[in-house]
Amino acid sequence: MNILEMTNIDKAFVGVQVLNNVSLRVEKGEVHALLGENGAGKSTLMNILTGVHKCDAGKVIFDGKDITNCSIAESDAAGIAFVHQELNLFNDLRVYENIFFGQELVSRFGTLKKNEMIKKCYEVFANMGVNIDPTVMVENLSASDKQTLEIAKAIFFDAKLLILDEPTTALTNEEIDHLFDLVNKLKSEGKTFIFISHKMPEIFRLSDSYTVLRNGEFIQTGKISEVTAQEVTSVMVGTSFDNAQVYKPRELKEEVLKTDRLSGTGFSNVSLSVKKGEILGITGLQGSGASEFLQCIFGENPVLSGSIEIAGDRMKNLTIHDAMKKGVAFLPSNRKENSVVPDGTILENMYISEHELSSARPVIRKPDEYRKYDAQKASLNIKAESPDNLILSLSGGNQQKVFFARWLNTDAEILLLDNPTQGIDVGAKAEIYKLILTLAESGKTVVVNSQEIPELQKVSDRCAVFYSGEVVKILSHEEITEHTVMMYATNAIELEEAKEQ
Amino acid sequence: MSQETTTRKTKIQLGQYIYIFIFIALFIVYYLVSGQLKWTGVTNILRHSAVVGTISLGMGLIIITGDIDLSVGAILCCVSSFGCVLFNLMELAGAAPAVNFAVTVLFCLAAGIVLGLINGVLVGKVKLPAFIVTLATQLIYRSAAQYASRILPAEVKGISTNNYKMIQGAARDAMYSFGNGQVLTLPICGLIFVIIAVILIYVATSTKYGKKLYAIGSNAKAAHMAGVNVENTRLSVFTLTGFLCGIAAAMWLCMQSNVDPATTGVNNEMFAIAAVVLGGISMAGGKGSLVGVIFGALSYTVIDKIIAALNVDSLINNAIKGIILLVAIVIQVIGPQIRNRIAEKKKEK
Repeated sequence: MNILEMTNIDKAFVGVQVLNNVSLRVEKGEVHALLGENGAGKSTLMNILTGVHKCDAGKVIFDGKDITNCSIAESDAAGIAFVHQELNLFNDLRVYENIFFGQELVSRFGTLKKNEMIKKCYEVFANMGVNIDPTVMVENLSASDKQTLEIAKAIFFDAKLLILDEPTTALTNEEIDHLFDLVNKLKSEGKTFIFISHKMPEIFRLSDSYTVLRNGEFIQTGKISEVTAQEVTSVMVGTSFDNAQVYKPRELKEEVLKTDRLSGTGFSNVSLSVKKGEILGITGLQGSGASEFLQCIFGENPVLSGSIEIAGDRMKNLTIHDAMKKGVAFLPSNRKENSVVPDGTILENMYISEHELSSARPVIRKPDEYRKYDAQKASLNIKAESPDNLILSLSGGNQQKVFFARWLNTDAEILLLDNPTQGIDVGAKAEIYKLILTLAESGKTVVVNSQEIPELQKVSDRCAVFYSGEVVKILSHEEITEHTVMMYATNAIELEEAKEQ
Repeated sequence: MSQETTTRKTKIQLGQYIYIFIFIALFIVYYLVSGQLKWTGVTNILRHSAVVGTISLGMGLIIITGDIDLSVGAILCCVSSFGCVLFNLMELAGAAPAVNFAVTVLFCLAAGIVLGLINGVLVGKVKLPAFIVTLATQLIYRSAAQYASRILPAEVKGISTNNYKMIQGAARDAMYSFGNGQVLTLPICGLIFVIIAVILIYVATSTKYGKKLYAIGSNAKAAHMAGVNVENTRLSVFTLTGFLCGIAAAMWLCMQSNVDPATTGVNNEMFAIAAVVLGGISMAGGKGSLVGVIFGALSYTVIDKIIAALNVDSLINNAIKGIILLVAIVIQVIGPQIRNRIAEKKKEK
């Protein structure tokens, strides 16, 4: 019996079709894996189910009732609970206060019935086989206990269907075992789960059936027992992707950046060597450590063990300033948070890093800066009215070009780029790839982290794939395909190898 | 899109100079209520703005970086108190007037730097919240000056009450005539304030250091990721403000020749914050110009003068200052909102 039937769902955002005739059927009492790459439409589909977005066409039937385009509250009441990736808990409140938030038990005089709420929590936790003290502060809970608490909260209010959005990202292996035990226990009691994950071993361990979406379209559904990780990955990625031939092999020169068994927060034992003029792609799922690795080379995160060599010099107690003096530049991810100085003009944003290196000459020479600005504007093709306009007057892609210029102004030789095309439109993305290739052509060395494999395929000479903090594979340019990278990034390769043996 | 933003920006900039209009309006009121305003009456505004104005410039820089310094009035009090003690000790030891003058002033500057540095280390390096740190040091600095005024012998304090007074003599007279002297009918201390203001406006707008201050106040994380040493910059701006408070303390000694540790510099941090805000600097940091701070400080002095000229009880003084601050903020905050709403309505049509 199907508890959920979403049929022929269409959804467009400002003219862009994100879901096209998508259907999803989930049987009562199963764990259903919802699969697809970033941007495949999984989140939008779930948001329609939980009432966050309204669909343009289609029908949603849950537990025999038509709940098409219901509100968030109605979806809650129907028994659908969304356990988000970023947990929706109040860290400064206690466990029971979180569970009862907004629905507290009160006496006639409006005072809280604390003891009764705590007692009820104990009962529910005991039933679930969960060992959490309802009176502790949520901030003192481990990541896995927080996850459990979110699930408990849903169970408490009689959720029938729980959506788990990448629930294992912040968990250790042991905690994952614990979570899966809990899910299996609840499943045996008749609860249904939709499980969103990118990690193949977990999907194959936990799920009963699956549905694959790609580019907003329904691709395939079936029983997990009837497919292999290899097949699922192929279906997820598809075969048709745009691979415009912009890449040209370049002649690589001497080694300029080397890490030897480097460990830091979020990654360990990374040994990589990059040559002058090379573009090294690095990739991995969210939390795989690729981004943290870049931050460490820039001196933002401390080195825990191992070593970094820049241009032949071993760097000890590397600070950002040291890295900059050695010609290392870092374009961080999350542009708005980590790059934009929102009250500053375009010119000020472009010069902040150069000022730091040339602070021995404290006075700004505006005419020089304007002249260099004009040159950068022309070579990077920045679309801006005047250098004195605020940075926020530019589109995301043009802002990102300004931050490229920020680092090119420092004459940096090694560019570390963390998700450089995040949140910018397709046209600007293409310009950024071209820019990366031109820079490498002119002798700059680039290390670029991205989760978008077609991007890496376009630019990188080699690609290092991270899985839970370690480099599991280094692929040559020819070997980089979405399928291969995903096999390593999701560790599906291990499952395949285990099967072969 | 970007073209639209350009035009809007120039519009807002006109609104940002509201502090000049407020000052002119207050000045006209002063002119009317004072009956006959002489040139000395005008130059006195500058003279009486010098101490708080100098402090306000430091406060302005700190607020631009997104922090706050509540200890500025206490630094003024503490430094001038012990500066006075040092002066008296040297006078008792028979130091030459010129030497005593110079050493006292240098002591004030150095002591200001040290007290500012303490704030700076705690905020910049130890990364404690500036509000709490400077609240604590405010209590400590003033209390030190007050406690010393109880335990030090009368001859060192120069007076038998719990105050400090510079001992009469050639050195005191030299300092007094400097502090109350004039150049081309303009008060020397007022001129010093203006010179400092001009230097700091230059630093804030035309040097790499100045741009760093704005960047930190606008987005400290982004400034850090772009290579700015946020810790050291925060430390330096608190130290600079301590130095400016030291200059203000030296001016105070030269102008007044005495210090009452219970009242000198009291509420000065609040007047400084008010002058900064009146001058159009955003409390959130990252925005605003020190030019406004000059007018903010001058405006507050004019309010004092108006009240004195009206012969009203001077205790109403702060109420009027508060009201003017509120009015200025309402204009600065609500003005752009109203303008945007009108612009949106126009677009709909």
